[in-house]
Amino acid sequence: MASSTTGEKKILTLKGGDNEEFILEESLVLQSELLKNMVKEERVSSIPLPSIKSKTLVKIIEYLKKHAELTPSNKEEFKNFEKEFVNVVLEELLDITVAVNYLKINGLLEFCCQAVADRIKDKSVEAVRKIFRIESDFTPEEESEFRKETPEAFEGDLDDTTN
Amino acid sequence: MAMTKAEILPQEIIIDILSRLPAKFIGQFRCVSKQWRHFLSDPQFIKFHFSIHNKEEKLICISRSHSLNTITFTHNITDGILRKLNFQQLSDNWVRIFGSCNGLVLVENEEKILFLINPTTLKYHKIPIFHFARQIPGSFSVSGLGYDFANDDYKVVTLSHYYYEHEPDIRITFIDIYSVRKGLWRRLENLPYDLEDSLQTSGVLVNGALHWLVSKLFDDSFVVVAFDLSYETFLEMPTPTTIDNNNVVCYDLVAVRGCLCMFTDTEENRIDAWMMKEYGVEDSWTKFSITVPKSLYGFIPLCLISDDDVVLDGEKLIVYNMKEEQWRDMKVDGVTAKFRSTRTFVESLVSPIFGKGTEGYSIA
Repeated sequence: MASSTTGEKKILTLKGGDNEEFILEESLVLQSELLKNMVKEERVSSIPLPSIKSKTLVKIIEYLKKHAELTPSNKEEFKNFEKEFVNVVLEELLDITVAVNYLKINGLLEFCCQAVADRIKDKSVEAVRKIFRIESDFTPEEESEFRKETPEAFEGDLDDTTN
Repeated sequence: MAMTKAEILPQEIIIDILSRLPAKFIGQFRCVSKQWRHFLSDPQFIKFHFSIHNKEEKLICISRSHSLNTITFTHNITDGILRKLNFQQLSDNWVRIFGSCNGLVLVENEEKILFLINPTTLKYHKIPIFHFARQIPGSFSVSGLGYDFANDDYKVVTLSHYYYEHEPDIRITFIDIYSVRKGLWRRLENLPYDLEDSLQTSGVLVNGALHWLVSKLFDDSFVVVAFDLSYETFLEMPTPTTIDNNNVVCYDLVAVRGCLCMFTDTEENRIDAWMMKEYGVEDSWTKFSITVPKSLYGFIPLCLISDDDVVLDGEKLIVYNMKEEQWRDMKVDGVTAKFRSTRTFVESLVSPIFGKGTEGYSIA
């Protein structure tokens, strides 16, 4: 498949999980190690990403655009954008983190992991299990024993919400 | 079964997220599941976690009532939050903090028993008494804590100075080393220097070696010696060429941002500090002078909390701004911070317990 061009700028199509198509400049996706390799080695012009929801893809493309425009003079503005970027419900933030990991966008991955950590640190064990969809495999005896082991962690109010 | 978030969230991402949590939150997350418990207790995870958080310094201090407390800095740099440490089965009779390494802190109680504690996880290890190192009148000892990279071991090094009243010519300093991994003390050869009564400083950990201020056996000039924790040998460190070691009195050593600093006695309204910016390089000693009112003479820097603000320890804790040359009392829970002994440490998950034969209560 030959890549289509408009003047000097190469154009690329990304296909989200629900078959929605996003057309963008090839230079933007080079921030993703995965897409960079696909573009460079296979010279594709359309990349299907069935595991990524369109909603998530929109967010990531928005980030790639902003990040490409980053200069020393608009650093503050970019920081504010980053803050807003992760200001979504936790489930959506996890979707984005998983997609960013898959696409291998390294700087953004670190930022997302830190954002998730900041959001879950005050959560109760029960809330964390719900967020990560984990069933406890401890017996009630084991669990109460482990809780006794870290008394300092259970001081203060823990948050039971999952968003 | 439909794919859920948990199933597509790769384990490496979960580990990346959890390694960014402050150490004190990790304990409760070990109760989430067996798998989480397994990887949150893994030494590799603990090391990785520490590598992300090792710049976040906190203070540990002994209160007037002999309890151990930590101080966390808040956004307002002169304010701190105090947290009292309650160790199961240990009473509050702490007298001295010798130093810290990778989140572990070496403390001594009234009965001269050393404990290796982790103030974050509240795990502890009672260091057995070394029977060779019995205290006799006229003797004193100073200790330091460090990590031996070659053997993946934490080591306590104690210099014990013996002075016999009826034989004043005999002054001996023994070097005793305790391996946390082996749970054993060993005695090395005697220290080929003299340890001054007035210089009862702890071993200062920089670059994998513990540093002490000592004096030469015959001419009394001061020397900074480094004890390499892997090779267990002493080396003399170069001191600034502009200092005359015979006439200048050097009164303390500390580590600030990983650099060795020493303090020399000068005029009463000034603290002269020397920082060895590049380890082992004589030319890298850089002098800083802090002009202080007479009342703050003898205060010693503990740590930098910003590029310009340094915490000084004396009869109370103060924050000194080097740019504006201004100082303010540090307030802890709203009160002027006055403690018996204060040191820095970094939160970590490192366990003070390596082997058996300990009195700590944890399995982690």
